[in-house]
Amino acid sequence: MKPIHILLTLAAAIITAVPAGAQQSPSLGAARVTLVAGPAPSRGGRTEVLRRAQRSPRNIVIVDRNATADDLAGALALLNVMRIQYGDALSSDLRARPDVVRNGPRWEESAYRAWLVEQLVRLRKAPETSLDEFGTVKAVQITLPVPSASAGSKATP
Amino acid sequence: MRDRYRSMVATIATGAMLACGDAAVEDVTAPPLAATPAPPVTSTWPTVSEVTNAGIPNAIGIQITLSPRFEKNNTEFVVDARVQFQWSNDVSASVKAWVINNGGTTLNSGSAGMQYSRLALPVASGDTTFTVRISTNGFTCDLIGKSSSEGKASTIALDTRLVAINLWQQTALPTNGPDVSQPKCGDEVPPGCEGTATRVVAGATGIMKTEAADCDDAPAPPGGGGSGGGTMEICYTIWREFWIYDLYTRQYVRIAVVPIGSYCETVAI
Repeated sequence: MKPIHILLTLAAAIITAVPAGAQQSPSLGAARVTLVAGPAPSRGGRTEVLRRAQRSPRNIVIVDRNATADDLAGALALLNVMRIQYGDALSSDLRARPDVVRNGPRWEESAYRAWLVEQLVRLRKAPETSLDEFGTVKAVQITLPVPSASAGSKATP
Repeated sequence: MRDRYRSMVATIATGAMLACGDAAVEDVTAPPLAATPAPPVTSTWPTVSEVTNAGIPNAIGIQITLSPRFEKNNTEFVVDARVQFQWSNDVSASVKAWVINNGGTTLNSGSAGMQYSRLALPVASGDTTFTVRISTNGFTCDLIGKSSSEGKASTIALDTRLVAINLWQQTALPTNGPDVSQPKCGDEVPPGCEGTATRVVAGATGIMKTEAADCDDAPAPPGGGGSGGGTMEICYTIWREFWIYDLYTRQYVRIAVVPIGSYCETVAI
């Protein structure tokens, strides 16, 4: 591929890309999410969230072998935040990494945490499958319900 | 014993000489010369006067009908073209087919055409079909198949100077066929998988199981996600990535990563 083609495509993509945080989804439904084990998150950490505009699967959470239910909870919460802020019709791919996750006081005994542990076990027992960009990896799917609005936010420059 | 041996050798030698000599070759009739091809009845276009005297109307016409569809589990895009023409002795048509993704990028394309020439008076009508078949490059969802056609039908005749002219001509300008879509990709929740009631249905047997069996492959959190976990504060860093489809390698290639920023959110879980 010639560099000029890349530059032209990049320029067009940046021009047409909507600025961060400017998109709002008109209506969000439940979403299918693919949990992928095996490849290390490209930017460090134990989990990484990918949302892809054109390729399938659309919603991917990369789960490191050392990830815990807390890490997975943070990734899925981040995915919900991204769905609320950018909607489900993306103009370009998004990649995000949870940096800090602080759970509430009732987290440890919640049914949600137990369910996340089940999904981690299910992921580690899953058969390997071929997934483009990742190669042969273990992957399972989960269904995320309609995200509830976030309680508040603040941006760190 | 030695005489008998000599006699046998002499007999064999004599037999061989007779067999290989001219006397052993019978008279053979040479094959006839290849028949010279008969000259064609006509090897050129009819004249204008022949067309006129034959009462050929000028109701010349051409119609191209496209039937696009995906086949072989959505791995091939096929466009059938049917070309119908009237009162023409020279017809040509071409069809293009291509598949694009959601971003409008063309993933593959192909074309086919037909040419019909009759060095005689135009026929009242005729039709032919041909097909364009292209691969979807392994994509089985979210692609759109597009097609277009064009063509022309002519009545060609020789004028008084024996120069071929288009006596009449009908042109079918480039026309797009109907767009056809592949199924949506599988990120969407299968019908009937939303909510907690379907979790009960998913565990049922019989006909209820077949309707919601796919839900079991992607379980949802208990209680629809609001399972009493309270709230969670999360800080994260986010990037925007730009990918394009490389037609040479037939793979998506990341061409740029643009940081968006770092944010903190408090979300209900």
